[in-house]
Amino acid sequence: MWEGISLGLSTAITPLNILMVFVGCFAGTFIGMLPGLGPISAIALMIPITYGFDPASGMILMAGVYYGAVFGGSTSSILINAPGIAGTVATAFDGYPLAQKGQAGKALAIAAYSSFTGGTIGAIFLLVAAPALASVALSFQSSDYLVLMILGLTAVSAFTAPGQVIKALMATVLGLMISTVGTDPSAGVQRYTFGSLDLVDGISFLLLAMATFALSEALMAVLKRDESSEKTRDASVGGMGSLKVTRQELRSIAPTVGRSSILGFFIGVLPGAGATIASFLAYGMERTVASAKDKLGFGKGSLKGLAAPETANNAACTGSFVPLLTLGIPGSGTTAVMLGALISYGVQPGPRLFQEAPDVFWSVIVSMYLGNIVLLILNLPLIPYIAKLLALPRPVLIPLILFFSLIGVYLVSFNTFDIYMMAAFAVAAIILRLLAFPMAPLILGFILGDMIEDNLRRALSIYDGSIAFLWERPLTLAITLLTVLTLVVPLIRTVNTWRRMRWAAASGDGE
Amino acid sequence: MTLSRDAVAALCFLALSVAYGWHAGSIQLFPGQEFEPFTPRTFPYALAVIGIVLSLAQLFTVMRKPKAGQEREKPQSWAGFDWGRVAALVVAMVAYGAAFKPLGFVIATSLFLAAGYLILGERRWAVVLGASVPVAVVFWALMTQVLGLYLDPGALIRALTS
Repeated sequence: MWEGISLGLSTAITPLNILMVFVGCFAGTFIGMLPGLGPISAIALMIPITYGFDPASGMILMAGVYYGAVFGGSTSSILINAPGIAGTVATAFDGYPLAQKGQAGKALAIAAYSSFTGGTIGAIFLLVAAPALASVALSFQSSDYLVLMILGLTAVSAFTAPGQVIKALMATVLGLMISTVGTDPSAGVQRYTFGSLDLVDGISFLLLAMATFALSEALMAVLKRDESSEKTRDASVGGMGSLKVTRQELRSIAPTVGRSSILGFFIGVLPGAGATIASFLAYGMERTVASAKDKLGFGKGSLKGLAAPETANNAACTGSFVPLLTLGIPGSGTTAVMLGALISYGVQPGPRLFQEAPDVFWSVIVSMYLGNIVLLILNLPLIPYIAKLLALPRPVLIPLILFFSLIGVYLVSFNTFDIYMMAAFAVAAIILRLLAFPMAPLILGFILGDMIEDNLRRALSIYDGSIAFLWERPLTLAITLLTVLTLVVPLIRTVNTWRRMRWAAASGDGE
Repeated sequence: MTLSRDAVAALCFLALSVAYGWHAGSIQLFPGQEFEPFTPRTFPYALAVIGIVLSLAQLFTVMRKPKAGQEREKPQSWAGFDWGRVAALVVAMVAYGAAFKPLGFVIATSLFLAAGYLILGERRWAVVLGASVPVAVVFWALMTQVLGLYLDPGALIRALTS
């Protein structure tokens, strides 16, 4: 392991890669602060820039963007009560009340310290867990991969939208359907191209990610007449208060940070459960274990209530890299976009990444420490200035985001057909968003589509057309059962709700 | 009975899945391939079946809910949304794509950005021009001169310069 760390250090600590960490954290913070634009958009916007880089630098930049975006999300949660991303919604519960009391500086500092600690503890776990899991994963067969990916897809659907599992599954299937457009990988015949030459190569994941996230998120802000830039201007003019945190305050949040780091990391490793769930769970856990006196403070500017979700969401971001780096299976929309980027660099993540491209594997892990340090020393003092940037008038910001999304895709293909296709997908994504379909399962389904089909083909060929692998291989069986469980649990809950409602209705009639 | 938006969504998805599965039947197969366990049609067929099952399940769920007498989903109010501006921006994007070849990168981009600012209500000409033309020129210079990518100057410029 130590060789790995030193290899990672020597790759990550080159002037170019350190610059990447800085640029990534800064750009991520800025984009993450914009309400509506999340880490997926931030990463997608960076991909065209990184095409010319070697994979390690590209991944380092994107990991930096990811952290930065999460940190930026908490900044807008605290300052203007408008969470930039879902993972920082819980941050606003106690962060915004603190800002209203004139302690925005302190809230931001605590957010930064807890993010830093959560990220660092997460990175240490990753360092231990990833190589161990990678060596286990080497014995996986195609049937195991197949069911693992299906588990990932069902888990994302089960977790992203509680009560809306079927809709999330529909979005997943739609993503899988879009992935079949183009030339079939095994036989080389065209599918769903309708004779169009522009569709023969299929739809690029960058195009789909940009259209369904960056473009449609920016257009949604126009559609909903989002006025938060006005609020930002007020907040940045209003002053931040001191950034100082007393030693006593630090001591009081230390156990919270410790607990939430561990919780956050393990939630992040689970497929489907990312930063959002981790932050809510950590917040809930802290409120439960808090003393009666502390409990009253939650929601009114409790420091523990702020530290818990902030720690957990960063630890979960780190944790979500475990399945990506060791199995090649992304567990969330964000890591799905990173997987797409890695594949386009010509790197196939998975258990063999650890052996074939150890520099990518280790430098990503090491750059996570660097990213955390950069966020702490660079972003925290700069926050007041970045917040001013946010006060850029929205009419200027949105066309620029549209331009960078469109040109980012065009510069890869040099085909104007892609621009039309993006406009069409963006409109479709807006309609789906208004119908309350989650978008992350769609992009995850799209990216996993080819791999699922490939592994299904192999598994079926090995077992001569029979699906007996589902129960004949113990490992496959175990994962299949887990998948069934993630599907059945929400179903039982729905049926129970019906029963209770019918019971309530019946007893209501009787009265 | 009016259909809730979830029911409409489920019906649309049902139609899509059926169409998708029906079209899967016309994917070309090589002779003899139909006897193999896995063909280019296998995966699309599987997806179509899953899609149909999911949309029926969703329809069933939606139809079932109101009967229990409560929690009927409030129809989301689509009024108050700024559809006009979004439509104008989408048209601007399509026009941007169409303008690329004849006008070239710099002019098309400047026009697109300026149109975007105007659509979103920016009326100060200093901003409209100042944040469009320089952005396009600097981006073009960065791409072509620094990164060595080729961006078409456009038929118009070529005609003027030759």
